[in-house]
Amino acid sequence: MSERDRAPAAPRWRDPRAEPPAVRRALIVAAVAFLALFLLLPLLVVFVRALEKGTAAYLAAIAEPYARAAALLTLRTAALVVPANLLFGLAAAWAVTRFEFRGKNLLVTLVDAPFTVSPVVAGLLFVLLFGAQGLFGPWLLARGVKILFSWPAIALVTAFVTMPLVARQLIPLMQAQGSDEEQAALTLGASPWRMFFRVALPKVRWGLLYGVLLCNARAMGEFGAVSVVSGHIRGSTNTLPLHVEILYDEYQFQAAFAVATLLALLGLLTLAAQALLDWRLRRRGGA
Amino acid sequence: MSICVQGLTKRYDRQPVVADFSLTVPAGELCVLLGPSGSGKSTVLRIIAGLLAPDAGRVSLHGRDVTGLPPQARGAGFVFQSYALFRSMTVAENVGFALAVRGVPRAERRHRVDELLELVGLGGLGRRLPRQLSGGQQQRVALARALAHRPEVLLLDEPFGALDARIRAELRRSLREIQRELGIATLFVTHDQEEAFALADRIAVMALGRLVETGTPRELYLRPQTEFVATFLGAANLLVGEATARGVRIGPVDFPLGGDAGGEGAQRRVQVLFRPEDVALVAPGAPSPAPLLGTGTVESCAFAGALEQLRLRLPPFVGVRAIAPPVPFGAGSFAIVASRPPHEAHALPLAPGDEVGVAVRRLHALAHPGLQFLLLAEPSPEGLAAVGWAGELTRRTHARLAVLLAGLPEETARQRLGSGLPAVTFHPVRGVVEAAVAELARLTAPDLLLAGAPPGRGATLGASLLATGAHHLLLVRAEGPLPERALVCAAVGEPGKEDVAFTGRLLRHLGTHVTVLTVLPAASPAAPRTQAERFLTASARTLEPLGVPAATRLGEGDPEAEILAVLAGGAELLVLGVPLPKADGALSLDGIAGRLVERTGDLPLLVIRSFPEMTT
Repeated sequence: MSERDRAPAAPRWRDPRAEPPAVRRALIVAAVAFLALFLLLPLLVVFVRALEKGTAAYLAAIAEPYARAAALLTLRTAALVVPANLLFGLAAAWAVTRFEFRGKNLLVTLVDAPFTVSPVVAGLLFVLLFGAQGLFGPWLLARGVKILFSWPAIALVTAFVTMPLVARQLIPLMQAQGSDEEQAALTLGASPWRMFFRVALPKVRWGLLYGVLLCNARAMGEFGAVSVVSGHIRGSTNTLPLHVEILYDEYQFQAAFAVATLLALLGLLTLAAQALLDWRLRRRGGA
Repeated sequence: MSICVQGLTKRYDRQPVVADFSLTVPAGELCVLLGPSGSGKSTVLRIIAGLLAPDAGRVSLHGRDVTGLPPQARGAGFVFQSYALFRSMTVAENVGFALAVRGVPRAERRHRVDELLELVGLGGLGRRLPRQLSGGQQQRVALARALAHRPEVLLLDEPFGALDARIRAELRRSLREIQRELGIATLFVTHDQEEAFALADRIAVMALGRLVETGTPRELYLRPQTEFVATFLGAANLLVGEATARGVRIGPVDFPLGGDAGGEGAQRRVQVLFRPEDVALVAPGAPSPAPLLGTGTVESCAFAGALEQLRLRLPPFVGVRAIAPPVPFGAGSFAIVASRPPHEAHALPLAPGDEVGVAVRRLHALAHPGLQFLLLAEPSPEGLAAVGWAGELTRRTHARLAVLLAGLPEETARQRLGSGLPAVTFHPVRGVVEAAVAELARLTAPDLLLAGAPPGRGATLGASLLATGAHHLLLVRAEGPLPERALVCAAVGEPGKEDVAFTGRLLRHLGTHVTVLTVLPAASPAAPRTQAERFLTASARTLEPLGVPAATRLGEGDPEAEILAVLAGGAELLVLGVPLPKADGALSLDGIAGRLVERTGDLPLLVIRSFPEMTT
């Protein structure tokens, strides 16, 4: 008999850092139940209600001119806001991570500001600025420029609300990556433009894309801030979320849900793209 | 000349990280810039590459002044510690980047990339992405990339710092081979002295933003000029002995120093270095092959491959102070490190506790010995100002500092001294302050005593503090930064030479501009005038090799008025020589010196004494 055989049997080994199995299972179940209740179920309801009168009614609701106008406005807003915030986010992240300047911490805090105020307050802010009694409103109106209750206001508030999304993605990423590669490119003779497009931008492309996706999702779905400044003019200043609300208020439930599916589909598409990016990011081991 | 930098200075928040740095690396040479972390060596490298702009100084590459040019126009190859490979490009694209930028046709580019990958031993890996390679391979790619455009100079910033020892050795060998083959001027930054020895044609040692010494690895190891280099490169026994007519006396033994008796003018103390392998161990009573230092006790011995390493303890000698290896203050003994090859260890086996004769085969005297300061720390405003000065001065000169706490708590003293002091000891005052100063001065043999002087008491306090030992004296009379300009008032003759020499020794670390002033009586005849002019020229010639920018001035008339007039032109430090002691040996600050002390307000004052017995 060897020494080993005579040793008392060790108690069943368990990782001391891990929670007991019962706790683990309970946590997983709770998380899944929560998701099902608050995400999957509503999503399912939206699609069921949208299709309850058949595909023809569904398509009709979507093809209706006001709905089409709202979809177009939403897309147009996103098309304006997303590139603008892409540029802003890049500029802010570059400034914060590459330069030392006075008020740098203030800039970092301000970039986050739109997240800390309620969207409705953000909307009101723009009313105070551009309304008929606002700061710039009368001056602009006198020159025939109408901002409030028209698409420029919608684009402006949307840009404001989505401002942090790209910058917030890029700042930690660029801080972690440092600037050695860019400096290497310069010592190898690259012009600043070449350095930027061939080295700096490719380094952050996945993070940048991720930020743009988030920004796009939020730009299309924003309700509160847009609601305050839009004026709800059908066919002119109604975005998709606002249109859904109007239809719902008018008891056109099926039509409201049908239009809502458009938004839900956009959201799902964004999620899918995000998942794909996540997967790619992991597979490539870094940005 | 391939890389030539002159007078580089770079400050962050007014704090200089590189100060008046000059270095030349000729074509084909591999020069290692060695220094502890934070010494400013990477900053120098980045300034040369154009990635940082200096506040002052010039950079020229291959005789072309590139100081104002952007990095693209300098064409230096740069290798980063982080590799800094372009992560979204393949290895081949990385290596070919500099060529693509320069519009080299694709076919030629591919040819050159293959050639470079072959050179660094990565042939056939061109299609990989950087992250698919090991750290060592990535750094090889970085090296190939830096060489692609056939740069005139190659700059490497701790390139092997993140790699393990075996790969580091391998890469060193490759780098050395490639560098020899291309004959390219190379500046290699590292904090690893072993790496420096393995690679360098020449080593430049840097500390606190300044160039301390340059030389071949052999020169720096065997004949360092400064205490910093002596202790930074390799193990060292560094003792302070007394200068004699023929060499140096350490305890009972006179060591001849031959032509090696370095030193700056009159000096009473000499710092001598001997390496562990210079120590010979002999059985007690047996004839010694070299001058015997004494009998020591073996404290520890360790087997280290080719050599046995021992640490021995020796009883203290009067007048000898140990700097390295460090021993606790007041330990009552000093330590010697020794090493010996296996056959010697076999012939005389030693174990801890054994007694053994310690002999020294070879001694080297440092030309620029380290400084020892003594600080009298008092809680008065002037005393606190002196503590601040002492901290900054000690940091900049790498001096050792003994602090005598006269009513100031140690914690407060530590705070005001600041961090980064290599060797500080604190001692409370027991009894009379002057007696305590004298006692500590006897123990630590300082070169300079620092103290605060309240208004009106400069002359009397100065005289009594000078009487406590054989040191010079720095009186601080108000808070202020270290001086940018100093005025040295020196009389023609030997004492004046000491004034200039010690000022140079102290101020060479501070970048202070020095004006040496000698005043002749009105309407002096031609002979003393010529003599004074010769003295001033010699003064400037003494200061300049130390890196102290010097100007001279010959005044005429009333010395006091003349000195005050020159001071009014701007100086933050006044250096005065004390008159030679009277017959009874007492020093006094009467006469012109005393009146100047009272008439210069809160200007800091360096009072230099001379040693008549040394001036022969």
